[in-house]
Formats: sequence, C-alpha cells, structure tokens
Amino acid sequence: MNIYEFVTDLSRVFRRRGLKVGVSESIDACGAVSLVAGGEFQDILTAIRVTMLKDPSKYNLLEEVIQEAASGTGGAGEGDEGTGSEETQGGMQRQGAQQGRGQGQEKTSSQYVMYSPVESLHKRALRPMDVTKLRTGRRIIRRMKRRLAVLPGRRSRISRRGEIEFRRTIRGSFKTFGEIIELKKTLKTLSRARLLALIDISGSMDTYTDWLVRAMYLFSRFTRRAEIFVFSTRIRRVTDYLLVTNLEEIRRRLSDELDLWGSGTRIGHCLKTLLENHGNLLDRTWVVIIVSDGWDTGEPELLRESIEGLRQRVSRIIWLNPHSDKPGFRPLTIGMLTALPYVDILAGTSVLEDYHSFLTFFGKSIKPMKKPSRLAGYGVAARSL
Amino acid sequence: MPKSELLDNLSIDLLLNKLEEQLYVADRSLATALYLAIKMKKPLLIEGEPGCGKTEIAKVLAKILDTELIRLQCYEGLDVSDAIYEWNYPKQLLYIRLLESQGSMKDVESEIFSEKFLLKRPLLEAILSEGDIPPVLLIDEIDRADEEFEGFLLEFLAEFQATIPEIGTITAKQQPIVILTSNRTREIGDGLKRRCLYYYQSYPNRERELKILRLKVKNVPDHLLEKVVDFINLIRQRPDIMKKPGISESIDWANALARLSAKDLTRDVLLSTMSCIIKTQEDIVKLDIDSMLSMVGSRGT
Repeated sequence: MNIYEFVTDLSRVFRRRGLKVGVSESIDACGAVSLVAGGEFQDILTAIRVTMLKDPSKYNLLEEVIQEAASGTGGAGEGDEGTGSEETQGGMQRQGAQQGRGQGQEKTSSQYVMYSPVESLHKRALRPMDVTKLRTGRRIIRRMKRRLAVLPGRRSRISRRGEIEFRRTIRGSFKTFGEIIELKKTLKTLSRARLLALIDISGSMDTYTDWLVRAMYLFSRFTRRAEIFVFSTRIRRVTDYLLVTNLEEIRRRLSDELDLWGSGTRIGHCLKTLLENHGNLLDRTWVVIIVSDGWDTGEPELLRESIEGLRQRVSRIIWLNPHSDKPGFRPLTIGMLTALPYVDILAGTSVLEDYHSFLTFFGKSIKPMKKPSRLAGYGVAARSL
Repeated sequence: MPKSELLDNLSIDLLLNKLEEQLYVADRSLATALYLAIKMKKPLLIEGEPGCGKTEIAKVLAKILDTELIRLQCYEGLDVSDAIYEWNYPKQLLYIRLLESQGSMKDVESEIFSEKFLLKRPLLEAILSEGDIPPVLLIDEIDRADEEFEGFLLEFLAEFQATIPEIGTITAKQQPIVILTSNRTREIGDGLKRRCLYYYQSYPNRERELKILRLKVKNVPDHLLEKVVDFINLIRQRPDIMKKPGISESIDWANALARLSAKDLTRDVLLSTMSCIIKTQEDIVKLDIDSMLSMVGSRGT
C-alpha cells in the first residue's frame, strides 16, 4: 500500500467516525507523511495527527484504528459512534416524594410516580414547529440579545470616555474650515454575548415538548456562538442538530437521533459533566440560560457545587421555569431552592412567546450594560423573590 | 552550521537538539509538528492549557533560526487596523499644515497616503520582511480575538497578502513561519483549523517536567524539585480546581523556593509560596494542604 492509498483509507475511516476530514486534510497528510516517511513510526503518527486530527479528544481514534489494522479486525468505524462514555446508572426519580410541594404541577395529586433504578431513554416523535410563534420568538430573542450583551460590537457611540477617532474628528473640522476644535471620542457599544442554553427534556417537562423544541431552535439563533445542550439523566450537545435552515430536518434529527426524552433528571450530575468537559471554554462573556422545572433526583449538594462553579465562570445565569408563569408560583422544588442563590433572573417560558412578558421579567431585572466591566454582584433578582 | 543552511538541512532530530540547546525541553511529536510546519510552509496552531510553553515555542524557534520574531497579541475587539496597518493621522495632519504654510498643496493626496505615513502592524511587518530567513510570526491567543478577525485571518493565511486601498495589494516576499496559539477558551473555527497544522500541547509527564525544572532552576535540591512536580501534578488532577498551574507556574514556584533557600516542602514554605501556583482564593480553599503534603511525602510543619 502506498502513502496515498494509506491516507485515503485512513481519512475514510475518520469520516465514518464523524470527524471532519476533507480533501485538503488528506492532501496535507500525504505531504506530511512523505516528509517523515524514512523516520520513526512515531513521526508518521504525529504527521497524521497534526494534519488530520484537529480535536485532541479524538486522538485515541488513531491508536484504535492502528490497533484494529494490526489485529486484522478491519472495518473500523462502521457505525460505532456510541452514546458517550457516561455511566448509565439509573436515574432515580423522586418525583412522587416531591410532588405537591409547591409549584403548579400539571399532574393531578392522585397520580403516583414511582422511581425506577433503570435509566429510561426514549426517542420521541415531535410535531412540526409553529412558524408564527417562531417569528414572534425571533423578535424577542433579538431584544434579549441586546439586553444580555456583554461584548463590544462593531458599532460605536460618541463618549467622552472613549478613544479619539480621527475620521470623525477630521470630518467635524470641516465645519470650522479644517480647524480642529473638538476631538471626537467614541466607545464601542455592547451588542454581543455568547449563549449557553441548557434545556431539560426529562419526563417532568413532557407537557412542554413543543415549546422546548422551539426554544432550542430560537436559542441556537441567538448568536453564532450559541451552544445548546439538552439534559435529563445525561447531558448532550445538540448544537449541530440545529445548525440547518430546514425546520423539518431539525425536527427529524431531534426526533430520530436524540434519545434522552422523558427520562429522570440529574441536574447536578449533568452540570458537573458539562463543567468537566467544557468548563475551560466558559468565561464571563457567556450567558447561561437553563430551562427546567427544577425537579431534581440527584444530590442537592452536587447541584449546588456545580451551579456555583458555573456561576463563577459566566456573566449571568437565567433560569426559565415553565411553572413560573402560573399565579401563586413559589420556587420550592429542591433543584430550584438549591440553584436560586446563583440565578440572576427566574422567569417563565412565556418570555419567548409574549413581548410584554419578556419585558416584565427582563425589563425590571436586567439593564443593558454600558461598558464591558465585571458585573457587580449576582442573584439580586432571584433573591428578591 | 551557518544559520541560512539550517533551514535546508533541517531534520526532526536536529530541531530537537536545537530546542534543547535553547533550554526548551520538547517531546519528539512537537519537534515533528514544527518540522512539518516549516517544510510544508503551513501555519501551526498550538492549543493547550495556559502556561504550557506554547508562546515560548515561537520565541525559541526564532532564536534557533536566528530570525525576527513578530508577535501579534490577540484580544477582544482586535481589528484589521491593529493587525495590519493604520494611517498615521496626526503625522498626516501636521504634514498638511506644513504644506499649507509653504503654499504647496499640489499632489498632497498621493503624498499623505504613501508608505511614509503608514503604520505597519505585525501582519504587514511579517509579509514585508526581507531577511535571508523568513520571520517567525506569532499570533498569540487567537481564541481571545473575535470571529470576524478569525475570518479575516483565513484570507491572510491562505494568500499571505494584504490590500491597502490607497496603495494596492502587498504580497509576501517570503512566507513567514506562522505559529498560532490558543488557550481553548473558545472553539476555533473549522476554517482556520483546516488551514493550519494542529498540535495539542498537554502538560508534560513527570520526567519531562523534572527535566525542565532542572534546566531552568538552579540551587534547588533534586528531592525538592521532585516534590514540587508531584504536588503540582496532584493539583492538576483535581477537576474542581479552576486555574490549574502550568509549567510556567512550576518554574516560578521552584524559583521562589530557590530564593527562599528552602530545603524541604514544609507546610510553612508551601503557604508562603502558594501564590506562585494557585491564583484564585476559591481554589486555595478547595485544597487540603496537609493530606496533599503527606501524599508527596513532606513533613507537615
């Protein structure tokens, strides 16, 4: 087998395993392997790694493929994209015990929910998205982006604290026949933020499935740097499912490929997994929106530690609870009580459907920032409840 | 070997030796990645935890090749005028005033928009470099820059040219050796990754870290250096620590111990030098110092 065949076969295997290895990577790999071909085997592996594997978490793939080739098992990568390495221990549902302790539940009090030690993972046939509601939602999301902005955009405004802008200064001097009287200073306006949406799709959120799918879609359009995760007993990134323009394709992907619907909830465990895997990517330019009713079957202490860790990293945490819109709502579930001190805004799901509701929650609690400074204190809105 | 011949006769082993001569302890895979980047004339994107020596690689490479190091430090809001060029507006204004006073305003426009009034920023400087050996262009912490700038870099790294409307397109006389670094505070776009060779710089293993400390820090007993490395590794293994110490922190800490003439890693010594390795109060609180000291085999007091 020559270098070209070797690299072509390898790139095919990588592609089957979900890696983005294009023709340009294959060309680079051929060039790199031919440069180190006379050297050590380790150099050839490095050459392949630097040209084809641009995600360190996939480095072990190369060793696996080499081992499979050496043992003669072949056919590497044939549909073996697992569901991740997370443990599959049962999601213990204590909903029966928690039921009736506060928020306006959909279920009647006679309904008795037992917990199961076996994790229950389901796919779900989803309904098509309501285009009218999406249109309203898009308008609200645009407003929300401005409210939550923490990053300077491209536009600037005149400010005495800003930097001297020569173009404006010179243009201003035309009025005085080229004599510069005033130095114009400008400051970049804050118009961008990075969004991390964590959406609970466990059994207790079943009633709101249509809204959840709509929220996933809308949040993914918040900014180009939006990351959407869904969680129940595990957490999974679904940003890639939503990065297509065809609504039907999004519905199909979320129906056919997502199997976390209707399971129990372990918010603390899921947040911990998120922080372990992606914590280093989060900083104060990120805004986190958690959509959940707060029913948690995991350890409250783990939830507290995880949400505290998350809060230390990001600029704001907003919690959307579907029960929050109901009259007489009090955040009394264990999950809500634990998380509340770290939450900036606790709002209902209606904020994405009704502009007045959006203003009610976001208008009072959050003002757009004037400059990208450290936010003073947090949890003010939540503590005032 | 004359420096100009070094590029022609470059090999992985030679590069590895040269790196070590410059007190940079690299493993073979890093030397291979650098070798490929130079030979294939492709930018090398190095990602890794902060303080792992990513920036240092570019500095050392410039020293090895005896060439210029041009550094572009990325930050949020970095734009083309900070990265490529900007007109020297105050100088242009003064020049116009001078011409006005002399009464010779003919051809003023072509004069004020000439190279004389151009402020060259790092990228333009890199493509205008005229030495025998191409310069090393370090684009540091690209993850801090905005996506718009990343998009702009796609074109720059593909063509190595810059367009100034008033002057025209300037193409690189010789392609610089480009090293980009990222601390992974955000995911770098696929487009940029596709144009680069990629290397992930992880924390070194115990032996290599010890070797680095022995090379970089003098007057510290060997058994103390071993404890420093073991203690640092214990911290790195903790998932709840937000800012994990890198190599630079290890070196700083060992240097601090050398200055204090410490003979052993006692509790007091550790507490007085803790700020070298742990940079946030939250992380300090999380550490159980006594049990960690007993794990590395040090006396409690």
